[in-house]
Amino acid sequence: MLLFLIPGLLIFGLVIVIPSGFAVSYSFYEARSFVGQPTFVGLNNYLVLLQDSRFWRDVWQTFVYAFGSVSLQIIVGIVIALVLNQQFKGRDFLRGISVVPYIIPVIVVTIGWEWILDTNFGVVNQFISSIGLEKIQFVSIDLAMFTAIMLSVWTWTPFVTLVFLSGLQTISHDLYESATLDGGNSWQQFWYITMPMLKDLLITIVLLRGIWMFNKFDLMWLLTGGGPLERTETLPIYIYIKTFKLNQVGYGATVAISSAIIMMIVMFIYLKVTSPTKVKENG
Amino acid sequence: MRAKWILQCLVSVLVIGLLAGCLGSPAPSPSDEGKKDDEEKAETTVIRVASTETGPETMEVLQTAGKEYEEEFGVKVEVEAVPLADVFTKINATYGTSAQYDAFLSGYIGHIALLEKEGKVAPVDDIIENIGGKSDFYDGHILFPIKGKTYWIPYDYNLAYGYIRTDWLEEKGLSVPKTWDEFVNVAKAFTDKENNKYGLMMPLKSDGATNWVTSNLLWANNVRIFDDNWKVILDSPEMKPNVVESLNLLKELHQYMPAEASNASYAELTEAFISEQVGMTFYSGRLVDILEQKNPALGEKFQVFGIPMKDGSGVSASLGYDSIAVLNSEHTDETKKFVEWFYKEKLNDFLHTFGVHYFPAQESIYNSEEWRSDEVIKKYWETGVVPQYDLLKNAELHSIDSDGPETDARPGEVFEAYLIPKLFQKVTLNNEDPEQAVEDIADEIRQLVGE
Repeated sequence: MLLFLIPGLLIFGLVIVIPSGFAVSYSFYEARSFVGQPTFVGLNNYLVLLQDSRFWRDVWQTFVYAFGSVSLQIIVGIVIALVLNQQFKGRDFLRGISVVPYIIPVIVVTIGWEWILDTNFGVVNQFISSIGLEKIQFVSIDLAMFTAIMLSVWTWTPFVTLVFLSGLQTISHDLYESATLDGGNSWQQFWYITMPMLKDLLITIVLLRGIWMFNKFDLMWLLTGGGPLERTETLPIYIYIKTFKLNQVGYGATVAISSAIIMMIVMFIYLKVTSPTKVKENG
Repeated sequence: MRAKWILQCLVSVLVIGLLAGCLGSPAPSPSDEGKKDDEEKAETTVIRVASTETGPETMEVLQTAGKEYEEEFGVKVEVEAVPLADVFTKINATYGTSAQYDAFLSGYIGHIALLEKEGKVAPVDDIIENIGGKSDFYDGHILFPIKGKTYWIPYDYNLAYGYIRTDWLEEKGLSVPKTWDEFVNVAKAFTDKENNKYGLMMPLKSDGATNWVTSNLLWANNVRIFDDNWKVILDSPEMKPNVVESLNLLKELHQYMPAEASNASYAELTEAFISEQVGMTFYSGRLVDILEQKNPALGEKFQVFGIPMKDGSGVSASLGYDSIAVLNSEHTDETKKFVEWFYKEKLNDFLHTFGVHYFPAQESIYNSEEWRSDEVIKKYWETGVVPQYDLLKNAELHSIDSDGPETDARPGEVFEAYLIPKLFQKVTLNNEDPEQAVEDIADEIRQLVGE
């Protein structure tokens, strides 16, 4: 039986363990590139990191982005899933188009929305100015993070909708019928039947989306490049800049390892707090 | 039992692999790098070139040249389009791998200085000598030798200078600005926000366009980042007032820029002018080539100008250039042969793809009838080409990556860290006190270069 694990373990070792080992290894070196002889500096990169105000600011900005986008994705995704779980004409069509944002490549999403939100020529600002309001600069210092969060919500909410909708379809209708007979209203049904039944699923969705948004690079890089004035610079962007733009491969690896540790700590706390129902193994 | 034993072996292998990753050197040893087996040598040589000139016409010339070279010499040349903003990253990320490039086109000497420091680029003095010598490159103006050796072969100058709408000037009864006050007045006069018309466009985004174009305001006030001993002097008692004056000028001008300036890069600079949104923009000759393709009606309505110096002593322009560099690889010699052949046989075809933009880096080409015979060059000779030559000869020319007493990686690091764009953003987008902003950025530069 254990022999069947070998292919999986081999792949795991080759694509996860060894590269991670290299990353950990680089974090103890001062390396200016991926080739040549790096200089061993021990824990110095980590000591520098602790005093790096840009790193800590980016940690905060990463949390703002991840928390903001995940919480909105969850709320909006659940609302849409509840709507799409109802019986109405055109439901299948709506279910189909609800996943469209999720399947559009991020580069298309970003460029498309850049045009839509353009201060001078974008349709949103054309509408805003047509009703007499002042145009909005969506990627300004004050609004860039908000705009990035909104775009993330638009793009990745369908994932939450899909998973939650599939979960909703596993709940027996008998439970809702009984609740209706007992006089339970829609809100009570949602709160006392739907949510408890889908609690574990929700915990998993939040966990997955949290990891993905914490590590999200492409949308933010394409939309703002971390600007203006580094206001949307998250940890993945900082890692990219340090490693590939400034050739500080060792320090970039240190930031990456630290980022992973921070995320693991948060995940651990999250799972402790939410304590998903443990399934007892039979036999 | 047997299965358990196999599993234990496998786990041991993985642990050893992990430890090898953690404890061993992450890099291959020099002796490994030097090993070549006979079979590999026997394979057809393939030269990989990363081209930052990504326009289809230019790429076609490069690829056609590659095919001709293969037919003539049996060496395959693969040319890949790589955006300028990504080329440095890609070269570093692929160096030493099977996907390594052998040569690349570059627009920043800072990249070359950084790569030389790592021992990744090959000297090309022999090629320079064979294609006309140092004197032909305006006495070696942009060869930027490092420790006596040259590491790139320039093919053009890309000065960043101003373009102004002459019909707008006429309409407002103004002339091309020759002082900072006139510069601001013209920008103000051109601005009509209600009708989406603005004075000028200068990029403020954290990228190469801002490094190249907007830094012009610093050079127009004789600002320097490093002194002759590589000490950061941006916030020194002598230099700081100049920087603050330039930043205050930028703040004033910023009022007359469209909102897109905060996120503008190369494309927005040309688009804003060609779509007639702004009356002034700043770019190289490429603007003329694009204008000829997209809005030729503007061909009679613009004038080239240098940024007025603060002290009224003349004009400034940002120094820009493009060149080809050869990377140290298994095919360095073959690559150098191809590059030399390209400069001798195909450079004119290449330069003619964007005639006004590719202002020759060699005086002999500038004076040649063959180069001047191009239709676009002929059409814009007086308005687009000669003014570049005048700026080259007479303007105060400077750039971030050529700052300091000699070619070095330090200005390149400042360039790549986008600290000068950050300085501009602080005073324009975040309304910070220019004096404080200069001090903050000077500190960041010191930290970056390890002063």
